[in-house]
This record gives sequence, C-alpha cells and structure tokens, in this order.
Amino acid sequence: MADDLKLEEFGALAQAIEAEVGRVIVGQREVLRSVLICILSGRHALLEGVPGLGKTMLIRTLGEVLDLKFTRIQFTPDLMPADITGTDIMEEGEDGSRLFRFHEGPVFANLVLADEINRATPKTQSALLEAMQEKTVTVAGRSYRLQDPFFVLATQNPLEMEGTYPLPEAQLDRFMFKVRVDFPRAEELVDILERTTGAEGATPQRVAAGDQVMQMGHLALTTPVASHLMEAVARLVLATHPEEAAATELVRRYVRYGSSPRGAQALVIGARVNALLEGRFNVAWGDIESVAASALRHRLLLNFEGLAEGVDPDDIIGEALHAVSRQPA
Amino acid sequence: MATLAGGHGAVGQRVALTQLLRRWEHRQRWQRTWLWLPRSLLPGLGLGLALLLWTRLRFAAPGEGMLLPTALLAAAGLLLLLAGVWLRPRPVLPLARKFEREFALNERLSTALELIEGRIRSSPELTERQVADARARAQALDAAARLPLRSDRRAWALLTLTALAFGLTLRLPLPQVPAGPQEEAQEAAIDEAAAAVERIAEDVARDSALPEDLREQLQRELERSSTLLGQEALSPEEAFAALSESADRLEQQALDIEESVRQQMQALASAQQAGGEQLASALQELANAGALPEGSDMLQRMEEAAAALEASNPQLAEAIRQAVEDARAFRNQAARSSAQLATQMLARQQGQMALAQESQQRLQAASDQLRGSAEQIARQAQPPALGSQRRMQEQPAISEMQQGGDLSMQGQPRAGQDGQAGQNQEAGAMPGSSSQSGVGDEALPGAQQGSQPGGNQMAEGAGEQLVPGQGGMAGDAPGDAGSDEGFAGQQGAPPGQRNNPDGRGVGEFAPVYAPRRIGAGEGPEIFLETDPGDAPLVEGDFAPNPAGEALVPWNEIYGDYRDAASRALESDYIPLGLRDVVHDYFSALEPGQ
Repeated sequence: MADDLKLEEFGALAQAIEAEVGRVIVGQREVLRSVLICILSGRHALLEGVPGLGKTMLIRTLGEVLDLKFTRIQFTPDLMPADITGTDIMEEGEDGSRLFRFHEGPVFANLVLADEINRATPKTQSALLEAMQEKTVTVAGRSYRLQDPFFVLATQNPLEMEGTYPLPEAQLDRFMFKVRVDFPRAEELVDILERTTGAEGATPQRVAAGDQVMQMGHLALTTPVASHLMEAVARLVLATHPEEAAATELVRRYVRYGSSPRGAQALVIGARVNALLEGRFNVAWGDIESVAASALRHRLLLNFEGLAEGVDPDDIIGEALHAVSRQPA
Repeated sequence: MATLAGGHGAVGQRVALTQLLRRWEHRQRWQRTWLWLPRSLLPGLGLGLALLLWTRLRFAAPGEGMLLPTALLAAAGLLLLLAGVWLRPRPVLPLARKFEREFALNERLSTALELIEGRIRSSPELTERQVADARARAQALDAAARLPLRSDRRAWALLTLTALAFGLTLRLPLPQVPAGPQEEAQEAAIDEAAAAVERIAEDVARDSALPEDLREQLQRELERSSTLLGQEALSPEEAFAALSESADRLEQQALDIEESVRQQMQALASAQQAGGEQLASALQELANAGALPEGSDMLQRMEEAAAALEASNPQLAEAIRQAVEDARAFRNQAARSSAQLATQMLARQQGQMALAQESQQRLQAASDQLRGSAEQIARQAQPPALGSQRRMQEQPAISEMQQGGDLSMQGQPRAGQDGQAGQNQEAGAMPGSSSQSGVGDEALPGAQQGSQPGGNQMAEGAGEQLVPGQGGMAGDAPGDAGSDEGFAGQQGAPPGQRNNPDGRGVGEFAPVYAPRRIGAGEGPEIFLETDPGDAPLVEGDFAPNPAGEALVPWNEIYGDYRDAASRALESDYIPLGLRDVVHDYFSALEPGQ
C-alpha cells in the first residue's frame, strides 16, 4: 500500500509544511498556499508586494522547511547576466597550465529568490528565461543542467516604478502564478511584532526533502479533472480575449491581449494541486476559482484605457469567472 | 490506468451512482410537480374565469357551459406540466453535474462517473479513492431534506382565489339578470304556463266539435309552444312571445268559429224568418203526416227557407226542397221521409252550432288563460329594483291588457286607454315623471308641480300645443313622458277646465306625438325606465341651454337615431318580444309620419 501511504502522506506533508512556515510567517495563508502550489507543481512564482511584507522571509523559510538549496539574488540595474548564471573563469592549474573553469552562479540552486527582479535590465532578466523554462544554463556555448527541483520565486515592488524595468510578457508568462502579498491585518501585525522584536526568533525545522516535494508534485498532477471543467477552463481563458465572442464586457473594454495557453495550464495544474491540498481527490470548480486570479492576472495585457483607469485585472478575471460559471456545462 | 474502468467494480459503482442519481431525479420531479401544480392550473382557470365573465356579462348566458372548457384548459396546463417535468429524459452525466452543483458536491459525481467510464484517467489509487469518496458523499446526503416538497403558497392562494371567483361567478346572479327569488318566480310562471298549454292541448285534442284539420293545426301550435316553454334558459321575453302567439292563434280560431256560428245562425234565422216561426214544427208535421193542411202557405215558406239556407247548408236546403216537392206531388210517403231527413239535419245543425259555440268559448277561455300566463311572466320579468310606485304605474297597464286581452304588443288600440292618464297622475312623485304633474296641474288641479327641467319643459311644450314630433326633440325620457301625459291629460280634462299654460281657457290641442304610445299615440302604452336620480343623465359637452329648447331640427337628427336603432336590432341583444316595439317606435318617429 505504498500508494495509499503516499496519498495520505501528501496531506500530512502539506499540512506540516504549511504549519512549519506558519510558525515563522504570520498570516499570508493564501500567499503561502499559492507559493506552495507553485513549488509542488515544479513551476515558478512572482510575488508582488511592497517591501517589508515578508516575501523574502517566506521564500527563505520555505527553502529551509523543504530542505532545498536556497539562493538569493538581489536584482539591481548593474546586475549582469553572468552574475546570475555564472561564468567561465580562467584558472591556473598546479602544472601551470591555464584553463577556463565554469563557476556556477546563484541560479544553480533548488530555490532561487530573485529579489526585486524588475530592477535589473531586461538583458539580465532574460538570463533567467532559459533557466526557468529549460532548466538549463548556457555559458560560452556550453549548457549546464540545473538540479531538480528548481524553482524561481521572484519578487517585485509595485510602487517604485522609477528606474525599474517591467518584466517582458514572455518572461511574465513563465511564472505560473503572480501572487499579491497584501499588508497584514492589525492582529497579524501585532503577532509579527511579538515574534520579530524579541531576543529569539523562530527557527523553521525541516519537514520534507526535495525528492518528497517532487513526489508530491507528481502525485498532485494525477488528480482527475472532469471533462466539463477542462472545457470551462478553456472557455475562461478564451473569455479573456477581447476578440472572442465569449469575451466579457470588461475584457472587451480594457484588455489588449488575453491569457496565453500557459495560463490555462497554470489554471489546471494549480487546481489539481489545490484539490489535493484541500483533501479532495478531484478538481472542483472552486479550485479553479481559487487559483484563477494568481494564474491569469499577469497574463492579461491591458490596453491604454485599462492602464489609464487603473483597472485591476482581478476584476476582469472575476467577471470572466462569473460568466463562465453561469454557462451550462 | 484506473482499476475501476471497465471492470466489474466499475459496473457496480456506476449502477450504484446511477440509481442514486435517478432517485434524486425522481424526487426532484415530484418536487417540481408539486411546486408547479398550482401554476400550471392557474392559466387555464384564469382563462376560464375570463371567458365565464365575458359570456355571462356579455350574453348573460348560464355559466355551466364554461365548466367543461375551463376544466379542459386547466387539464391542458396540468398535462404540459407533467410532460415538461416527467417526459424530459436527462442523461446521467448532465444529471450528475446538475445535482453536484445543487448539493455542493464539488464535481465529485461527474468526475467519478467519467473515471468509471474511462473518459478521464488518473492513478489507480486516486481513481479508487475518488469514486469511493464521491459515492460516500452522495449516499450521506439526505435527499428528502435537500429536495423538500415545497409548495408555492402564493400560487396556491391565487389558485384558490381564482377557483372561488369562478364558483362565485358561476353561482351568483348577474346584475343584468333577475335576482334569485325573482328568477325562481319567473321559472315557476313559465312552468305554470307550460302546464297550462299542455292542458289546453289536451282539451283541444278531446274537442270533437272542432274540425279535424283545425284541431291538428291547433295541436301543432300548442305543442310548439309547449316545447319552447320546456326549453332550458328560456328568457321571459321568449316565453311571453310564444304564449302570446299561441293565445293569438286560439283567439283567432275562436273568432273564426264565432263568425262561422254567427253566419249559420243568421242563415237559420233568415230561414226561419222566411219559413215562418213554425218551420221546425211544420217540418215535423210534414214528417209525421206526409202532408200539410189544405190552403196552408207553409210549403211556399218552406221553399223560401230552403232558398235562404242554400248558402249555409245546401243539404238541408235540398232536403226541405225535396220535401216540399213531394208534398206538392202528394207523394206523402216520400214527403214524410224527406221531411224527416230535413228535420234531422236541422236538429243536427243546431246541435253543431251549439257545440261550435262551446268550442269557441273554450278556445276563448284558453286564449285568455294563455294571456294571463304571459302577463304573469311579464310581471315576474320586471326588475325588482323598481319601487312600488312603478308597479303601481304598471298595474293599470297590465290590468288594461287583461281587459283588452292583448299583451302581445300587437299595436291594437283598446278602449279606455286615454283614461289611464288620470290614474297616472299618482305617479307624479316619481323621479323623472314630474312632467306628468306639470301637465296634470293644468288637467287635474291639486296635482304636484314637477321640478325637473325636462319635465317642466315638456309640460310647457304640451301646453303650447306643439306640433307632432316637436315635443320629442326635447331629448330625454322624462320630457317625453311629460308630453305624453300632457296629451293624455288634455284628452282626459273635463270640459270647460282651463288647460292652457297661460290660464286662458281651454285650447284646442293638436295631437302631440306621444312616444310612449306605439304608433304615435294610439298603440299600446310602453313604459320606459327613467333615471332614478333627480337630475337627467347627460354626458359629453353640451352648449348651454338653460331653457331646454330644441336646438336641432328633428328631421336632421332622426336618421342618426334610426341608424343606431337598426344597428342595435341587427347586432345587439334585443329581447324577442321587444324587437317589433323598437322597430315600430322608430317607424312612428319618422318625420314624414
């Protein structure tokens, strides 16, 4: 009954991970759930929030709880691609010969925190593209495979736009979720103060190993999805395209380009993992609803009117979800 | 690959889930049936109620005829409901999606069914766990609690109210038909009339004095009346018309018989005058002796009597003539035989005349009886809202009909009609009939002075000797009644009494048109209903006309009235017995008349 054990272990591990992270991170349950879904799915997440909300702490804690090799890259305008991927450095051997040896960059880790990713130049940002999509790094014509599991968890500040380089759509599309980190509530803030202003801080314990995380991901991806839900996801993604007949009013008015097929994939994968995390053995419409905003908000390209009016993509997604849920299966 | 898909376990799980879904579906169909039951019956019942109201108010038809259509309409609604709820098949998978939405089962059932059918795939463990989880969750649901038999109280209340309204509409008397007791009295009067007709028919059948063809003709007529009176929902007007027609027929036959008897009696009297008072005894003597005394002129007189009887009874005349010839030829035996034959024929004729007189009296009595029945029905048909004064006003007319024996509005004048005006002064207190008093003030001192403008105007018009038709132009019924009474009062005024409005003695009144009289003053009197209010009922915009004088010449507006009456006769419901009255009324109003 190894399978039974695995299935039951999934729930236990998931609960343990969330509980252990929750010992360090106050509140932010939804953020933690979204990041965990991305990790279990083997995909990357972009966290957006003002500084000081615990984004870096959350990712570092996850690395420690999951016993993953964690690296942090602080993106700055002068950061070079080689600073991320690594570079060949000439070394002199004992026999006096000189040769180039590849020095791995910080990207060679299981969990890479790309902090304030939008502060680096597009050239540097694009250095992550290959790593995120192919899980390889090519330097001087030689490719190096990244170790599994490999996750990039990036953060960006939505307020300080001066001197930043917004991520190109192609790179945004490679993030499974764009997670919004909101300011904590008053009681959470009090809890944060109590935990972080004392002499001793909470030290997270290792709960799971990297291979267990990968097994959990594999198991979650087998969660069955009813065919009509697959069709609903397709309709939902199509509803975000203004040129489609199923497009909603807000989409037609404010969206220039809708979600890519990666958005639909992110929806289904996220819903599968979410279903198992919820202790259910099949995907429900509620799972899709719960991950829809994170999976689609960064994939909607607003037009000038939408940008000018400060339209929130979450509103557009909410309307599309409502429209699709009312359609007969 | 799922272990369930295609295996025996899959079949069992699928059957179990399908049965569960079908049970829910069955329960939900009952729920919807119960919920929509009043809503499905309401349109049919409402439509039936509307039709019932329309037929009763428009045609005053009995409502029982609408029971079946209403029941059919309601049944059609019910059938539509049953067909919509029970005859709509739904496949299992859509059914599962529907119920998992309603019961918040989070797509467990549809996923399980698709896993079982192999439409989607998962790991064996997940498949097994998912199907087991779906089934457990579904079985744990209390379908009775989730699908309660709810009733739409508002719809039930509306249905009850509609049914009550239908029942009340069916049962309650309508304003345009007589109230219950009066209707019963009408029916009783009609039944009584029908019984009278049957009795008369039996009497006619037994009356051997009537000629065969006449008897059959009368029997057919009476049978037709009896059949008509036995019909359901017979209106008083129709009963009145049928009875009047039969009474006329009987009376006509009685008159014919009377005329026939009278002619025969005249012929016999002429014969007796010609033949001397002793014609019968002479014939008897001739029959006994075979000859008459010498020198008697009886033979000559008998011959003259035969000539007088030639037209009315040629056989008798021939027998007398034969007896005379035989007596003159001294054929005593033959004269005796001929005289005996003539004597017998004379006695038979006298007997037949007596029988014919009796038949004539019976027919006249039967005619009177039918008229009495018709009058009874006419009395019962009077609206009960009319006050006792109106009945007092009508009573002379009915008694007048009883005296004249004519209630059928045939337009025959009767003696004593003009005298009614004096009696009708009593009705001067009635609203709208004050004009009678206005005229009566001149005709009969001490009568109440009228107060209505129309009445005064007409009273004045009567006093000023309006030409025929002028009084009618004043407009409303009270005014018409006033002119009528003015005319009647003038005729009934004692000689020497002042009847001019200016008080200067007696004036010669031209025959003013009296619209209450069929045929402009000489026909039977009809009574128009007046507005019970004090003020005359007028609608629309009218030019100020305080004096109430006629503003439009009569011959200019008569055509409009005549056309309206023609349209009413052709399209509207005019009681059978009153159609001739309406027609005669407007014929009499024609300016050229």
